[in-house]
Amino acid sequence: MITIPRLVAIAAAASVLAACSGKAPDPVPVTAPTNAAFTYINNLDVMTSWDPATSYSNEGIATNNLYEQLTRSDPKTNKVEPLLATKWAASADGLTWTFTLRDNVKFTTGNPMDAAAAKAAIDRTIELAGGGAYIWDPVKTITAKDASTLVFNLKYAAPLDLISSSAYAAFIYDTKAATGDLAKWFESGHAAGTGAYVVDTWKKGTENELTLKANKDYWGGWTGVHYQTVTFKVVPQETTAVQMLQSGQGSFMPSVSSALYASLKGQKNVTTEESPSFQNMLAMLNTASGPLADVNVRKAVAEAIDYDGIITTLQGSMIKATGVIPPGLLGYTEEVQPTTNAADATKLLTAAGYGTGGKKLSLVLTYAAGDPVQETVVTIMKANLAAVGVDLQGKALAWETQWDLGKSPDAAKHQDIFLFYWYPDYADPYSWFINLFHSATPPYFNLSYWNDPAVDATIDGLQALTATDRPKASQQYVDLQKTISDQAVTAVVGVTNNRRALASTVQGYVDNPSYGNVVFVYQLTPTG
Amino acid sequence: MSGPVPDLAPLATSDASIMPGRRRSWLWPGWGAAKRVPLLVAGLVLSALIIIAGVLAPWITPYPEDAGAVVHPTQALLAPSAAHWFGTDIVGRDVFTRVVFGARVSLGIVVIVLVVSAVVGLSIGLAAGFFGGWLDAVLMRVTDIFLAFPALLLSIALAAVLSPSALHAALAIAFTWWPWYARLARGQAASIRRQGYSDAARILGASRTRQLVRHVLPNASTPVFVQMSLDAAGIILTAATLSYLGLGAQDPTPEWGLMVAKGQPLATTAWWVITFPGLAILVTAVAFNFVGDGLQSVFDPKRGRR
Amino acid sequence: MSRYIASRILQALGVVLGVIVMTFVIARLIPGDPAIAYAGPRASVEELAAVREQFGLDLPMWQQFVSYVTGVLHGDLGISLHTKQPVTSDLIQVLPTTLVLVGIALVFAAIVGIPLGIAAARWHGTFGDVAAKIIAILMVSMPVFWLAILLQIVFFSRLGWLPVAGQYDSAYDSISPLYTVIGVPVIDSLLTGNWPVFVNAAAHMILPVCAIAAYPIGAVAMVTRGSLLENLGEEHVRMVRALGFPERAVFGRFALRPSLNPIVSLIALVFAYALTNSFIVESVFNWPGLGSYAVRAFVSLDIPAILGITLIVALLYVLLNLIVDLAQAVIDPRVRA
Repeated sequence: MITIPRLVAIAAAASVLAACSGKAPDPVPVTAPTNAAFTYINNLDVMTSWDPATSYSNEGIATNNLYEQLTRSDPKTNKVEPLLATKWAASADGLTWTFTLRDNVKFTTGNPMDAAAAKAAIDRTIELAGGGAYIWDPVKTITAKDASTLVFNLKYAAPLDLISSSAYAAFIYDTKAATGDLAKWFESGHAAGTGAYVVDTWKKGTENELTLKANKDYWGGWTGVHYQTVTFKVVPQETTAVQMLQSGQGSFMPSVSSALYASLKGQKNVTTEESPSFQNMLAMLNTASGPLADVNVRKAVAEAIDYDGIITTLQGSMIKATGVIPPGLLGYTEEVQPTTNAADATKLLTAAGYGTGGKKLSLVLTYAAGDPVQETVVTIMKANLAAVGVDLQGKALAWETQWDLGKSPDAAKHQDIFLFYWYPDYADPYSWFINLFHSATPPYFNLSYWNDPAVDATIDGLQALTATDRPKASQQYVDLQKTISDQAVTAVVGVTNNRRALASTVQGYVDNPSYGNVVFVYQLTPTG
Repeated sequence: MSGPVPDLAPLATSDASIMPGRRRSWLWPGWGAAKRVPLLVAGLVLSALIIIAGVLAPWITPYPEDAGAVVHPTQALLAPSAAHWFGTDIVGRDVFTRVVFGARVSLGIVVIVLVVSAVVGLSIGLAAGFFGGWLDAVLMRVTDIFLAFPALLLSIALAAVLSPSALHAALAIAFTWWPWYARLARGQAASIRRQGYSDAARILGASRTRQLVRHVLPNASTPVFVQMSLDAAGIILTAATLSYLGLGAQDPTPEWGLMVAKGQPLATTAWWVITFPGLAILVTAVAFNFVGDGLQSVFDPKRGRR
Repeated sequence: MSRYIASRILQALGVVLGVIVMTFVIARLIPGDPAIAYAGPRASVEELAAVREQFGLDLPMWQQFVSYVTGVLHGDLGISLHTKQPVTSDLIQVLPTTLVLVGIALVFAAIVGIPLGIAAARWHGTFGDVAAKIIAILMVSMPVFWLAILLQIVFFSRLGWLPVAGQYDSAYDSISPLYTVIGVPVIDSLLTGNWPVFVNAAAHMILPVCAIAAYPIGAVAMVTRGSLLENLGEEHVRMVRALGFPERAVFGRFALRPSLNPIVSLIALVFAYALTNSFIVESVFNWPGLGSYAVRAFVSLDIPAILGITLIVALLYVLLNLIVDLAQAVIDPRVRA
């Protein structure tokens, strides 16, 4: 999942292949430091959770360098590539999947990564049922047939090779890493994966929050030139972050706002990358309590927002959204267009008893402090709503605090509007619907607090339907988006257009929208 | 602590030394005296210009609607030009208009803080100094506790508790500012009492309240007035800092500190967005400091020898 | 003398108690349920109850107050909602960094501000005096957040002379690893003789130190000047001058020395101001001290941390005031009266 704008992903497809088959990449003919350090500059705290089973927030940028999945997907080529599994096959009915695991891979704890260990990890993730664990819903049983053969029996057909490449909840980790309470052991800053890096230091709340160092026993080997350490630096001020990048103190910024991005183009020690993403910004409207519980008031708010104006003002940081699903995914539709109609909004508000002669409508919106894009969107929304007589109060909070208040069991603490980002766990729209629009008590990411049993039932069947009848599933997604739009459950502000900035010493970066803001550092080549 | 220190006086530790309890006429010593202090003249002129600009803002700015909740998506981040003297901000609002309107917000905060803290501080300080005894001891210990918190810090803690707005920021600042007036007034009242002319009044049968109003208050008012002029700059800076931290005025209020905060991500690319509001804070604080410093030297020529 | 010291210390203790009461009152004013903020997202009603019990949030107000005071006296300021660590240990970690920064800024302010004030008084009434005065007023009128950003733009973006943010370049970790002594790179590198890191860390300090020092420089210069002029106007100084002592002796021996007293008492005031200004400067320069910790606590609604910071800064301030008062009592017996 994704909540915040700055995460990333990349991998030169070629180098993925080379790495996955255990071949050393060709030596790079440049002088490269033997102890090169990669510095990822993030505007928010990195680690909110360490447990690879339940982690479901910004820490994905780090965990995807500590852990590996069975497979890795590349939505640009529409292919699934080998990672811990070297090959896989599905039965004709799609209900049995057999994965062959890579030999001689060890967890950083020293224990072997074999079929039994992989089964134990996925079983634990399913059992804990937190974070993105829903991805395994189609799985009935997992069997370790022999040390390198893992067999999944499914309840219904599902694209398991794609599911097993998820950015969250699909990690293969050592369940025997700790003798006591494993979850506690993880949360104290430990990892037990097979990735190219291991945890060096973790100091929560400090500038250099997390440093990783090379996992000397990594199955991919360390021949060739690779980064030996990875530092995740928390720099809330974007200007400072950009200046650090220019001065060589940083290697990568996942998201740069328009004005700065323009200024970075053509600079010699910085390169910029622009690519479409699967991430969109949503304003979740509180359907359960407060003034927005009235559907007409929600509609008025949604119609008051000047979507085109926001896109224009952001100068390329976002593109216009149609419906909840971004372009490039199943169920994307242009039938659900956001409408801006201040006159109609005013009419709806008057009918609901607000505005001239009625009550004054005041709404609270929460958003993440430190994101200039959200900041700008809030400024515009305030003006748009003021134009129809609604007073919008924007509260900038640390992401964790914003989310904690939003998912509080006490509805009195809930905001009227929750502004945030979402991206899918794998290249499929299901993530939005199961997380954002399916009911859940206490709330987790369903921050509109929407509860419609008919919609829940449709969502529950969609994963299976996707595997058996894609056109029908696509139609259901379109219908759901129409319902969401009719009920004004959320206002989709726009789809993020990724604008990354890298130090020009970093070679080999390729954006992979399936993994949000993750950088697979092992695949990069340091130069200079 | 002594000497002409703009807006430092509220931080003073020792009440007796802030302002010696000299009798002084509250009457304006006249333009002649002021003219001998060029910085005072400069400060008065600048302050007057700022106040006039604030008052006349709706009539002298080109786009008065930009001070409120409007956006112009196609006008975002235009560099300074004839149409937009100070350029436009990230949502296309005219920076010049917002800077001029900002004077209203900042001056409003200054007035609220000064009035509230002077009224509260004077009442407490005069009561303590005039009546003395246990009342004095209790009131002054309470004052000491407030003084133990650096003003900005207590304002920050309070502003974090209250929902942020310009009014709440002003009240939070006043909450930390009154003790300085209490100390000042107490020192005045006590010294006047010691000087004995209220004894004389007492002998003549004046009531306590009458003594307080007729003799102590007027004698305390000159240093208080000077102090207020010295404090104005400090209040402007504190309010701007609170807004910068997101604990004061909220968008779309055209508050200078807030404008700098919102423009910070653009500092290297759209310099005008932070430069002009920042300059406005600086110029206003300088103007008030010139006035405060100059008034002090006029009313207290010994220490303000020029 | 000892009576004065005793009463002054007693008075300071009273203020400390008042400060503790006040932080508690502020804490109770804060809306929102600290239990939810701490127990986190998926906490059940039972878990919340457990957290309330653990932190005594279910007790009557007066009991909460007693346990709060007892805790503070034992150095227990609660658990930060944001770092999930004890606030005390967080503060111990960030405080040295900030104190070093503020300390260096104040020393710098004294080195620049006192001579500036002396020069202005010495050449009183000249153009130089007026210029010095205007400079000093500019310094005390400068919005510190704006100054910090301007310094970054000028000395990093435009000129490229100084580093933009942070304490030192992490690249040195592999070239010349730094050993931690007190946790402040510039001091640690000095103590361990790690010159490459020291030079780099010192360069990183220049801009934040300048930003913090601006106000103290102006204040120190004005107080020095004002105090000197006042003393020069005193009867005894005029008499000495009339007796034909050289101007330098008049100035140095009879005017300057007594003028130092107000400057000493200024230290406590300026320290408090510099400390709160460091909050803003640290966040602009990404300096991992008390200020960055505080700014993060604000956006996290981390009440225990905010109160811990308020308390620790107030205590530092009371302590410094006490030291200054006692020092002055020793230097100048008149103060005791």
